[in-house]
Amino acid sequence: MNEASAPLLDDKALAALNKTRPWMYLIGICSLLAGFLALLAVIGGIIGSSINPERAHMILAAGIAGFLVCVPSAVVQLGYALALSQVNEATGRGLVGAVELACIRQRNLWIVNGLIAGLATVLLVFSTIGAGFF
Amino acid sequence: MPDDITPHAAHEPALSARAIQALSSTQGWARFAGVAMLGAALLKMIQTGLFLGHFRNNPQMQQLTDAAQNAAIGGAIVAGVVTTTIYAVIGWLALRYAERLNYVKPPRRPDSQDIVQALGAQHRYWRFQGVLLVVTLALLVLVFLIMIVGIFAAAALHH
Repeated sequence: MNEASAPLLDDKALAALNKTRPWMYLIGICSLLAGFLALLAVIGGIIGSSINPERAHMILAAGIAGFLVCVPSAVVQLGYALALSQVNEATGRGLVGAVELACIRQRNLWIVNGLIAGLATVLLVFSTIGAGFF
Repeated sequence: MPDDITPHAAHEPALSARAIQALSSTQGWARFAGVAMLGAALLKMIQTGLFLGHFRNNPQMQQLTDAAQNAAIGGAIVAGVVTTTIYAVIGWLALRYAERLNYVKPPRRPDSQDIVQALGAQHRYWRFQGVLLVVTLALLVLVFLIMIVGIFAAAALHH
């Protein structure tokens, strides 16, 4: 696609990107905090394994699962938010590059989002089977 | 001004081919996330139905008073409906974004309105997730405050 046939980025499109930015920072920071709490749970589980192994293993498993979900989410969410900040600050030719980076990072965000949604659904399938038969 | 830029494009920025490619390759993932969340909504509805169906046979529930049983049934229905609705709305918003990306996908040549529609749909998805997060955090803070007040009230009564 050459420049002449490329769709123009008008003010409404840039406004849609700029309005998404604060939400992405909010969600990203919360995911990062949740990842930190999950890390604390992992550390707590490791320390507690000598005191109460059964409970400690449950905490450890929950912490590892939370960490594996929250940290990649936080990375892609904050990465997209930072790219949107660049869109807000860039002008002229720099704006085209900033929007390109934002589009690439939103794809990465949706890949992680899709995988987590799929994982959540699979877990719900198992818990529904459990609820139905036991 | 370089020769490859039209006078129009020199004044207004345009989406690059890589940006279009990145947007159109998002469509599959957005659709997958949407279908997964709608599936999750359906499963949550089934789980609520199973809980209510097995409720009377559960020995732990039979020990409760009638009022407590009614409260438990009401709570389960409300929780099920709220969770199902949230999952369904998230799924619907993701599918809407995927549908909007259809207009951006090559070989179609999107115009600025198509881009606005797609980015607007994405904004609505993340705004909903953000609002949900704010409400959840507010509820957690409220529960925490109620617990603190309860602890102090119990301590005051004890003394």
